[in-house]
Amino acid sequence: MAARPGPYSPDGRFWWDGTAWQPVQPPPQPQPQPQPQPQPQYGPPGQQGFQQPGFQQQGFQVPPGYPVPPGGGMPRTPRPRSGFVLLTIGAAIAALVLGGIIGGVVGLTTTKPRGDNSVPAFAGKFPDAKAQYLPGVTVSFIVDDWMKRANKWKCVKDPKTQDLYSRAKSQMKCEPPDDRGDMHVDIEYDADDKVKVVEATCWLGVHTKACKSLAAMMADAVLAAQPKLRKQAQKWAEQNSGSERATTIGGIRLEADLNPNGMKALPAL
Amino acid sequence: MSVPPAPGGDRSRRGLLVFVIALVVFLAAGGGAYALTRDYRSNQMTQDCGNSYGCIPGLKVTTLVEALKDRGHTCEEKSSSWHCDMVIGHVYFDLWLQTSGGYIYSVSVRLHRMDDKALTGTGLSYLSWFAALPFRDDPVLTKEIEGWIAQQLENNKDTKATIGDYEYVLQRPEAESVEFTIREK
Repeated sequence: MAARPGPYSPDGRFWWDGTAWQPVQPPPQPQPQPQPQPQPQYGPPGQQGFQQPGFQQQGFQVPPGYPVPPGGGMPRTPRPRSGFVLLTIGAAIAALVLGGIIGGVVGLTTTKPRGDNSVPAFAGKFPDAKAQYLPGVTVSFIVDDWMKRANKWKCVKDPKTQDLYSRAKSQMKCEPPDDRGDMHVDIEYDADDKVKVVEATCWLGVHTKACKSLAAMMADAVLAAQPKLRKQAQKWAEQNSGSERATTIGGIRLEADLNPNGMKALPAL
Repeated sequence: MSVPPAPGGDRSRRGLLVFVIALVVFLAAGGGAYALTRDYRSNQMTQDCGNSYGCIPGLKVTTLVEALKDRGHTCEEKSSSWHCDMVIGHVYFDLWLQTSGGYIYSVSVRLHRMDDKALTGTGLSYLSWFAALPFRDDPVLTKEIEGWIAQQLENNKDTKATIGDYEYVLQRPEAESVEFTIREK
């Protein structure tokens, strides 16, 4: 018999010749001999007598001449494929969880809700600075043409503007030349062509001719830039000066007041 | 004596296969989760802006304030808020913007001394513009909100509605006054 080769691979199918793994030659198959038919014996597994035909596993008994692997034990059974499957499933689950978490975090942190840092366009009627002023009305026309030139009134600038409802930067107060103090006209404005309010006040009594005339003249003056509407405004003011009615003519709101009696011109909305 | 290498390349091939499968699953899961969260985030109606507030997405309060100033409104920064107002004739437009982290989580609008004609014109335009701010990229919804506000003003009643993630409250404390609030629900 040749020298015993070794060492053997764990499954006993290869042996190491010092330089490479060599397959182990299978031992010669013994000649089949007639065997007496074993009688089936029943009993608990692991005890003598528990045998069934065909139940004996191949490879558990070393045939004669078959090399014994190092360690003296019997060759191991091949590793079951289920190990590989379990490993694959485990790796896939781990990759699924990890990928999901990373992808989700990246998606949440790199994406912003829809909506950029810009405001939508303003609609045409959205309140704007231009709407604060009486259309076509200028301080110079009201003060110079109507108050001073036509009626000889005195106009002085009032520095007290902080309490004005209109928030105008400047205010002009005009009074008749005789210092009676029974009527006055106030003009609130930001610039000559940016007049916010013109208000005529009369203390001579509701329905008096003087108060009606003042209201009518004021309505006529604020609509001077719209000649076709002057007469309409003048007429309405005269008729309604002794009331608390309001109307809009040419983009200008005319408001009559009783206490004190007067007429106010405001930009209309 | 040299150490014998592992018999065959079977084990390394299996290892490579497991790695490839795991990599494919990782990429697929990551891509799927990314797509889902990206879609969720891009369709959010509010954005987290700190202090547990949900704010109008993307719109910084300074951008809105500058736009209003350009329009002639007077704006002033208060503690955690901005106040903007404007007077046109006898009508007072009053706006409060509650902010967190530079973004807006509540819009309160008050209109004073506004008659019916002004309310259906400038007043409606003013209210509708602010009401549509959270949905400014959705022209259909913007139109619906404008219609809803017009209807409520016509009804002349206090009302409350939930639109998206926001609560809209419209009140008429006086005949010529309107109070309107939008905030995250």
